[in-house]
Amino acid sequence: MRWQRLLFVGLAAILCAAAAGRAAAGERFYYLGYEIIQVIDGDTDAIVADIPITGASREAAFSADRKFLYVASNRHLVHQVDLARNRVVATTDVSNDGWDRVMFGFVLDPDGRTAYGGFMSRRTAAGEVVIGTPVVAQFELETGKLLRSVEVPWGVAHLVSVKGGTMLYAFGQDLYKIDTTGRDLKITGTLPMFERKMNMLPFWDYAFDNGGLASMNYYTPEFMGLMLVDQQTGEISEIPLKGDPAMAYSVVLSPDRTRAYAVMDELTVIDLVGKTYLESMPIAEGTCYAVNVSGDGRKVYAAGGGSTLTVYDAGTLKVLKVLQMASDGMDLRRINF
Amino acid sequence: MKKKIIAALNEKARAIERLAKGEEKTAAALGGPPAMPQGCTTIFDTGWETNPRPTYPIGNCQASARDFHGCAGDCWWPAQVPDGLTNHSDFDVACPNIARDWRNLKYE
Amino acid sequence: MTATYAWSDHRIFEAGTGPDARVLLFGTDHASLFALDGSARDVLARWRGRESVDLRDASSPDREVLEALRDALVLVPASPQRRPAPAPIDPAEIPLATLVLEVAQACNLRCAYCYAGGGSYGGESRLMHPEVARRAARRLVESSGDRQLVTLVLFGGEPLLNVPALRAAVLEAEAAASEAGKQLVVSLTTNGTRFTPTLLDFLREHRVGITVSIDGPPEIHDANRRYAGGRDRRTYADVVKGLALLRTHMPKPPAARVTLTPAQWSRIPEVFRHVLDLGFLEVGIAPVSPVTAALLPTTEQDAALFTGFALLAAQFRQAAAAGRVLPFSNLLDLLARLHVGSVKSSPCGAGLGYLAADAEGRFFLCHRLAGEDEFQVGNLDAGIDHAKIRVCLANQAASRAQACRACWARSLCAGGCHYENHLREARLGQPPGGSCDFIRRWLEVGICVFADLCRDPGNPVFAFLGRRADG
Repeated sequence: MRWQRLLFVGLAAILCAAAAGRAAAGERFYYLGYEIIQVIDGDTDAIVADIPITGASREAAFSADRKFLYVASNRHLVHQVDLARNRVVATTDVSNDGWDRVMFGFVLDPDGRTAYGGFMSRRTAAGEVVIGTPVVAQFELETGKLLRSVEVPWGVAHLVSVKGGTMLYAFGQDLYKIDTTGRDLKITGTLPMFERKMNMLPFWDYAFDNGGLASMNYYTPEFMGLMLVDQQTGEISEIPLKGDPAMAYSVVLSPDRTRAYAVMDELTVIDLVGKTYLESMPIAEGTCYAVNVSGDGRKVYAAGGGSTLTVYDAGTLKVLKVLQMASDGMDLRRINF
Repeated sequence: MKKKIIAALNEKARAIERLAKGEEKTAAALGGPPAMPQGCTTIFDTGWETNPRPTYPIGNCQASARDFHGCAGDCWWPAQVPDGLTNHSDFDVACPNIARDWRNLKYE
Repeated sequence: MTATYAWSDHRIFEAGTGPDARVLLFGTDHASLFALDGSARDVLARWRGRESVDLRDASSPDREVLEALRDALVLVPASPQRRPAPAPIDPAEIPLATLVLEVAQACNLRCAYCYAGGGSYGGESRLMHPEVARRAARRLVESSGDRQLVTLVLFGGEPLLNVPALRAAVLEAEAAASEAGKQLVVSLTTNGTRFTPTLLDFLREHRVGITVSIDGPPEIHDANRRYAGGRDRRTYADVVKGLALLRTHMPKPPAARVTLTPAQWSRIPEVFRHVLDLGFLEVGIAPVSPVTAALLPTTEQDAALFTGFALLAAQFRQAAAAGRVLPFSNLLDLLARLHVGSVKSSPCGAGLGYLAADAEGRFFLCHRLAGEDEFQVGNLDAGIDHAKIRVCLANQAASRAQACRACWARSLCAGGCHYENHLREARLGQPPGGSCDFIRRWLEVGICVFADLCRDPGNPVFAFLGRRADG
């Protein structure tokens, strides 16, 4: 009875919109730190709010109604952050039934009530450690209760939700396609990566920030490539880049999708048309995990790893500003209201 | 390097001479294209952080503090951080900003 | 900043005498070569015995020298940690670059010193089937990975005894290389008695580089290189006739490969001059491999070999002073490597991009080791056996690892010829390291010649060496 559920979700959205306050119009960046999330105004590039959280943030997802940011921390807590009030309004623990879980990969289901995670788990029984099988599971955001799961190979580290949530892509040694539409979650296909000597650390994909296109970098012994996943169609494109590989943790697309920006020790500009590197600039503040762009494409942000956020002019790569953040950080996410 | 005392004769020696002068290109001249550090860290190396590129800071280490929390127990890089998975799952409370708070790291 | 240093492995040479005297420093780890001034030599002599050097202990003039030595990586930060040994090269990671085809395991000559048992490499004389030649040639190109240049070597026995296979190999290699967009180099080593105009036309059209084996003036050559049968077994006159025919057909003179037995080593300069005057492009001299104990040299013969090479090196030096290159292959190869400062981690390319295929299409570590079962590393059907290559190379390295570690010349030599070592140690039961002394002394000669050249950095010989180093 899927249409009924959709109807319910639609009604709930309308009701919520009427009830809750709205975030001010404009552009916001959320710096995912440790015990804290910091909010940066995209116009002034100033820190405008601090949001205390529990734990070391890892992954995050904006809700479809753009009112909430869900942040996973310590690999087992999920915080619901109200974007209008800049505070955590609910926290769930997925380790709630005697199992210690660590969650790698976190995406929201469009139903607004549930989410998916990749889980490894352990518990003790009679003084012995019991290791659970690795799964991708759907869980209730309110209770953290696991609703259904499918066993996956070890090493799943990231999830991307495609085709309106009817399909999940789980990134491990290979890419596993999981069908969510049946009663049970089911792996319906595998895109081989290991055999093709592809190596990736897919903790950052910026699918939301890129407007529905997840972007990740991968490496083979010969080259660096970008993997793009179109969330609407589920289409996966691999773009091998010409030239000596740039070392990068994460990569984000320019709004016009002609360029990509990658960071690690350098900020590297990638030409998506010519499929090569345009320029590379060491980041004076040091290694960064996260990269993002302003909605107008004029500024590039490199942040996290250490406790800095550097703002660059996207055209000249001139440093416009360096923000000292309250904590080290994992990611920097953007939303435009 | 002082020409009067020691003069380089072959190309390798000249590369070493340029290296001593701090000219960037020569790190490569000593051993072909620099190899990317692969794999894991040994006990006190900062493996991944070692900058193999002919860019700032040349041949040096990126501050490992920048990657400290990424190396924490639940995560991907098994470097020298408190065991965040079992014994010190909240170590980040005492030092969310490693460069500032590292003195608070008092774990056995 | 550290102030405590240790000496890295290096060697000091006193080159020349009188006003020409120079002190040279060879840095083993990097194959770097420096000239020291008098003060540096004295300071070095005073400090060299110390296990560790603390710059703070040095007087100001001494420190200046020690700092220069530090900059030259002769003094390196003292570290209690041992550096990890470099990982051995994985043969599977190295695409094939050169394949030697034993197109004829047969020969019309019976040279006194032949390591191939009259050309057959053991067993009956036999010829490679043209189909095997074709498959091997194609395999070379197919196994060459991302290399742009592949080299096919036509070898034997006497390769010109099997023209059908030779033609088949060349044509197939050309076709395969052109399909793959690669450049092909073909070379041929022959005894020079079997040239015909038709054959030379073929070799010219396909730009085959030719090396002719010739051992010097008639009395030496004919003592070594004799026909298998017939009334007059001397070959010198026929080789000279062959060379004359070759000159009229080929655009480029051939190279000469001279092999001399220990008794002939005292005549090296004379042999070199004689062969060069026959119109060769360059001349390489190989002291014979001790295929039997009778060919193991005495101490005096070893000394004569060194003297002969050193005399040619002196002639090279004289020619170079006038900007000319004396085409003595052995020295040119050494100087080219010294010029660049290239460091060897294995003595040669055998098994590391270089293989030989015998008449049956079996692969061997190198052409000289063809027919030796323990060095067979796959075949055309099963492919290249990289695991076996690893074992062969590891075995070869194992017996000399300790000696090499302690040797200043290791980065230039890396252990010497596998075949020579195999003969001396496995066959003749000699202790390892029999040629080390000669190799070290020869390298020292090369270093001194090179340092002498360096007095005139504008000498055109450097450009020549640079090109040679680039291949």
